[in-house]
Order: sequence, then structure tokens, then C-alpha cells
Amino acid sequence: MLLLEDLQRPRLSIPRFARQQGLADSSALLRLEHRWNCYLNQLALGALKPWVEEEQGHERAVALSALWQSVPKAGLAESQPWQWVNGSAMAVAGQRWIVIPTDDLDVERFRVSQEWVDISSWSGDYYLMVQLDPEAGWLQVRGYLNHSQLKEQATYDEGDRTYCINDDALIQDIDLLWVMSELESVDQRQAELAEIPSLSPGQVEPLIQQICQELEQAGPASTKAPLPQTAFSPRLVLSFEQWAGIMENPEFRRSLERAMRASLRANGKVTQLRRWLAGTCEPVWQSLEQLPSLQVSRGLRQMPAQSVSRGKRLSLAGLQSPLTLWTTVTEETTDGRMMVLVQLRHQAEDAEGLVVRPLPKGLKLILLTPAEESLQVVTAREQDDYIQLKRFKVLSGKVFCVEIRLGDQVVRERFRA
Amino acid sequence: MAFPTRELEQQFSTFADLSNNQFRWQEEPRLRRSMDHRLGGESSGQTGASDSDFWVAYWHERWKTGPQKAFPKAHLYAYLQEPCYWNARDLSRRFKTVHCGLEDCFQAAMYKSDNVLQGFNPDSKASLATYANRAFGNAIRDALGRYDSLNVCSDLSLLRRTSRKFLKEALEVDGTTSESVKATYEAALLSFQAILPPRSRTIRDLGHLTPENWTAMVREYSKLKARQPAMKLAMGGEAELRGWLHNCVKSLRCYKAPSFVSLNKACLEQEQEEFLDQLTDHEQVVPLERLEFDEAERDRQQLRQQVNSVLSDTVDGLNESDQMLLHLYFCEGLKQTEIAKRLEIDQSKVSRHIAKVRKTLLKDLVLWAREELHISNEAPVLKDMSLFLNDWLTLQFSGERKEHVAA
Repeated sequence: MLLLEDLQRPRLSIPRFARQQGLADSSALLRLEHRWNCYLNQLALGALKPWVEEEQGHERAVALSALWQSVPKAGLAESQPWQWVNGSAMAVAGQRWIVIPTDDLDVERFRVSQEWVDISSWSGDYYLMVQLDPEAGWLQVRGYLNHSQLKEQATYDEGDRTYCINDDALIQDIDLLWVMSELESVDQRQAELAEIPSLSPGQVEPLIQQICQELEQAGPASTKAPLPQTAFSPRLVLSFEQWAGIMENPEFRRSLERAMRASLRANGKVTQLRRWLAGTCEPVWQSLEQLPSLQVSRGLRQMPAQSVSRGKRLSLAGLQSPLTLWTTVTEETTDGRMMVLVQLRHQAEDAEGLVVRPLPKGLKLILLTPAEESLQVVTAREQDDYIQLKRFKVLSGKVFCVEIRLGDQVVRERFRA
Repeated sequence: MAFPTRELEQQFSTFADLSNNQFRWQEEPRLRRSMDHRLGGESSGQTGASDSDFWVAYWHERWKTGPQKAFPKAHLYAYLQEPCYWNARDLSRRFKTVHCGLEDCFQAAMYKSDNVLQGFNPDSKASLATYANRAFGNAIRDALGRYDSLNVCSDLSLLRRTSRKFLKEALEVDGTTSESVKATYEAALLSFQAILPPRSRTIRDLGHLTPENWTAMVREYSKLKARQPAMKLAMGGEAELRGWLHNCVKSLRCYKAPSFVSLNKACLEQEQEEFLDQLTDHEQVVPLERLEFDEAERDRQQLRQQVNSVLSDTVDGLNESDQMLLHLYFCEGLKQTEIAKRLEIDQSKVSRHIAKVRKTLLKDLVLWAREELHISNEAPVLKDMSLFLNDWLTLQFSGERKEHVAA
């Protein structure tokens, strides 16, 4: 390896244990891109920790898992946000460092995810740009900025919600960072941040559903490389305020992760209606109690009392709020067949309470055979607030498919009776 | 290689020519005329550093705010040749590699000239040359480090970690001139990056890709091709994509520095001779501008002297072994490995020790600046202090070395 003797931007070697740790921890994450993220961050922390300890003296131990105090420190990966964004937090000499690693060959821009900057419980005193070469086994600290410099000088890229700044606009002398940490700083390191409105559990639930649906549409998160997959970024599905509201709360973050896991498991699968009748159901299919906004309609009242109803939120581009696919099933005792009623509604809860919105004109609800033969089609007219398929009966074990079509957008749900 | 010094007007009108292992200053006649015109035909004769600094400020101001960008920029490019050359020479000596020589280092640094001009803050206490020293030094180190990485990483990881811009530079250096060929390779790279699981450690060679991977890649490529018909991308199936990606890897592996065949003069071609014709009396240096500059320059020089005395005091206060270390590293220009051998200590300790001593100097400088400069916003001043320290250490280095040689 070339030894570049760059005094002001030190090059550190990546210790072997960091690689092993990185490999072990990353396998716990959901998607390949997050695993790589975890691996890269583990390498970075693994190389930085001994360096910081050397600089600070071992008596001032470095707390690495300082990001989310409320999370039990079962493992490093769980206390860092690697399934959501790139970057790690370190507590060094009473300050909070945000370390952003990259392994690009030609780094020119320092890109920091907005979460690290604009959520006050995430933000740090200093932001360090770190380049690493996992194969050659080195890491270089390329420069740093404090929070208020980043906020003032960087440009905000709406496309991927990052703050970007040219590499050479950073302070490229890491010795200064150490000197400043010894001296009392007279500078304002932290810029003022707008407060993120906190969300109630009731508000969070539909947001999480919305993310899960997008996740399902993004395709399978293959654990076996190298299947093609579309990169999916949960952080860009909602508005930043909404997303930040989830990210700020440990309980909400855990709910989101649970829901994403569940929906990945359910993804591509056929919904087993017989299990509903036995009382078990995937979390994406919610009961009337969980979807209080749903009004009971005439069609539903005609179903027998022992029927089970579940709703799933579905998002279509161009709609203000998600649609609810409402499926009700009853076992017909006489011939063992199952009676099914499928409705599509467009209702949402906002600050004012329940809002019933008309369905977009031309929206189609279609019943298909597994071979994609169309059995029934219902089209929404002007001002329809719900549409439903005519009640139908399905033989036990048979599969059917419900398709929702608006323009060229298609969402399909498969069921087994 | 002999390094001839330049007169004032030459500093803003000549470019380094490093071909054939020789060093020559090549004059750009239009720049020379422009300088002569402004200097009023007087030969500058003896020039002080502040004269160069004045002309740096003069051209920088015109480049930033004037209607004509190309000429001021070309003058500044000419000026930057020297810090660029010294950094390339020192670093190519210090980190001798078989493959990257002085010329590669020089080009890698000169390629960053635009960034240097953009990044330089004329209100800063540090001069353009000081700022450029840091920036060029970093650019050369980055290029050397990148070349190192290019040769360590696997084919797939190489393609994954490469940006379009970087690939384009590499292809151009490798002799690809056709725009449509370049665009085709770029599209092949993008299709590859689109289908590969974002990051994967397990597959390393193109041979590890599955037939499904290639099918997906061909699909991506046709999408890209259809989206930009104007680019006239070549038809591509699996075999073609395989070949293109292999070529990309080949070009990337031998890439050291961007080519700047015409970097020196190309910028001039955009604006024609008109600029010279337009030169009228009001373009003559306004004496007032010079007066203002001189006044500010006096302050800056005073500051530099104060900085020097702070640093000298600190160095005097260091113990003997620390002074020895600074002397060996900065004065004799020894590598850390050599210092380790000389002082019989572990090499990793050398770099830590040098860093520690440097931090002591930096800390004293920051404390002094706080007390003396009464600043409200520390960050820009800190940057300056860090640059001053580098300059001072380098000057000590070259100054003492000259004495050393004289003795």
C-alpha cells in the first residue's frame, strides 16, 4: 500500500475485527443496500475508534453507540440508523461527531442526509467526511465542518434530500478538530433548527402503511445476490416532516421496521383468507377497529354477522390519500364455499376528522382468475365514494386476484379461499 | 530538471512544458501582450512578492465579476503553474511510484485549477499561492491514492465505484475521442450499475455475473439508448456489453491523471482577440486600486510577521527531540520510514509524533489569533491559520535547506 503521509488528512488502516463485525452485523439488515451501508459504516467506526482513543488517551473511552440512548445496546448496528441512512454518530470528547463514509473512487462532493442535519436529536457538532477503500483496507478522513457551516454553506439537493458541499470547502486539517476540541470554542457550532411537529400513533399508522406498500411495489429484497432489484428508499416516500416525525421517535422507528419486515415477508405471497376466519391475519390487513375512518356500508351490512372484514391501504400516484381495499369473507356452511365481498374506498382521516373523498373517475376494480382472465369489472363514475364487486363465491383452496387500475397504474392482490 | 524563475509579466503569461523530461516556460503571446499593456511597457525588473499578489487580486477580481472570464482565468492559470509544479515535484519525489511520475502529478494537480480559483477566498489572510499549495498537494495525494485503489480493487467493484465523469476522463486519456463511443461506454456503465445489487462483496469479476444479470443489463441499456436517440448509442447485446465493460475496466486501470492537452490555452479560444482590441485606457491599472491593495497588503504582511514570530517562539520552546523531528521531516524532507530508521523508533510512532508537534504549533497559533484578532466568526480564521502553518513549515524547510546547501 502506498503510504501518503498526509498529515492533515490522516489515513488509517481498517482493522480485521471491524470487517468481521461488519459482516456479522450487516446480515441482520433487511435489504442488500442497507447491508452494504452497515458494512461500510462498521469499517469506518472500526478504524476511527482506535485512532480517537489514541488521540484522546484511553482513559476517555469513546462511546460509539451514542446515537439512540433509548435503544438497548444489543449490537452496534441496532444503535445506528443504517437501515435508514448512511452515516454514524460518535461521542468524542463531549462532542457529537457525525461520520459519513463513502467508498467512491473519485469523491468530490460531501453528501449528508437531511436527517443528520435537520432532526435535532440526530444532529451533531461536527460532520466528518470519510473515504474508504474496503479492498485496500484504508480509510481517510478528508475534512470536516460544524453544523452551522454545513447548514449555511451546503446546497440542499431535493432529489435525495441531502446537503451537499464540495470536498475542498471542508476544513481539510483534522488537527484543527483536535485543537478545537481541547479549547473552549467561541463559535456557534449548532445552527438553529425548525422544530419537527410530533406525530400521534394514530397519524403514524397510515404513514407506515404507505411506506410498506411502496416497499412491496419495489420488488423483493433478495437475500441471494445477484437478483436485479429496484433500490428502495423508505425515507423518500413521505414528506420530510412526516418522515422525521417517525425517525425522531424510537417507538415509531421500531414499528416501521416491524411493519417493513412483515410486509416483505408477505410480499409476493397469496393472502390466505381461511386464516382470517381462524383469527390470524398479516399486519397490513387491518380490522375495522384499526381503520376507524371506514364507514360501514350497505353492502357490508348484507354480509352475515360471523363474517370477517379486513382493509389494506393502497397508494396510487396522484391521489391525496390512500385507497382502502376492503375485503369481507364468510364461510358458507352449506357447500363449503367462501363468500367474498370486495370494496374500494377513498377515505382518510385528517385534522378535521373523517373525510370521504370521491374515487377518481375511471378507476377500475377488476376480478381476475389466476390466469388473469377478467371475471368482473367495476368502474368508478363521477362522485362515486366507493365501488364494489358483486358478491361472489369461491371454492375452498382456489386462488383469485383483485386488480385496481387507474390509467397505467396497476396494483394487484392475490387471495386464496 | 532546472527550474528557471519568471519575471512578473511572465508569471501571468507563461505555462510549464514538461515534455521530453525537460522543463521549459512557454509563452502565450496574447497573455504576454495583455500583461505588457497593463504594465505600461515598463519592464518590471526587480519584483517583490506583493507585486505578484497584486496581479493575482487584480485578475481574480476581474475573473469573478468581469464580463470576460477567459483572459483573467488564463492569467491566473499561468500564475498557478508554479505552486502546482513545486507540489508535483515534492510529492512525486516523496512518494516515488513506478507508474506515476512528475508529469502525472503535475497534470492531476493542474486539473484542479478551476476548483482552486473557485475555492479561494480573496478576503482570506492567506494568499492564493498558499491556498493553492494545500489544494494541489491534496489533489496529487488523491490521484496517487486513487491510482493505488484502481489497481487493488476487483473489476466489478471498480465499475461500481466509478462515476460517469471519472470514466469519461479515463477514456479520454486512453485515446477515445468519439463522443458516441464515450456515450456508449457511459451507458454501459450505468446499465451495469443499475442491475448490480447496490453493493456486493461476493461477486468480483464480470465472469461471476449470471445470465439473468446480463439480460437485465441489456434491457437497461436499451432503455437508456431509447431515451437519448440524439447520442447515437451503438446497438448492444450481451456480447457487446461484455466487451465495452472490459474496455472500461482497461481504461480505468491505467488512468493516472486527466489529460489537459489544451487545458492551458483552450480557455482562451472561447473568447477571441476582441478582448485585446477592447483594451482601452480605462483598463489600465487604476492607481487607486493599487493604493488600496498596498494598504491591505501592509496589514497582511504585518499579520504574517506576527504569525512567524508566534511559531518561532513555540518551536524554541519545544524539547530537543521534537525539534529534531521537525527538522528531519520538514527540513531534510526525509520520509517517515527514514526518520524511523534514523531515530530507531517505530514508523507508526513517527507520524503520530509529527502530528502531535504540529498540533502544538497549531494550538498556539489559534490561541494567539483569538487574543489578537478579536474575531466573531472563527471558522475562516482557523482555515487561514492552518494554511499559514503549512506555509511556514514549508518555508522553514526550503529556507534551511538552502542554507544547508550553501554550507
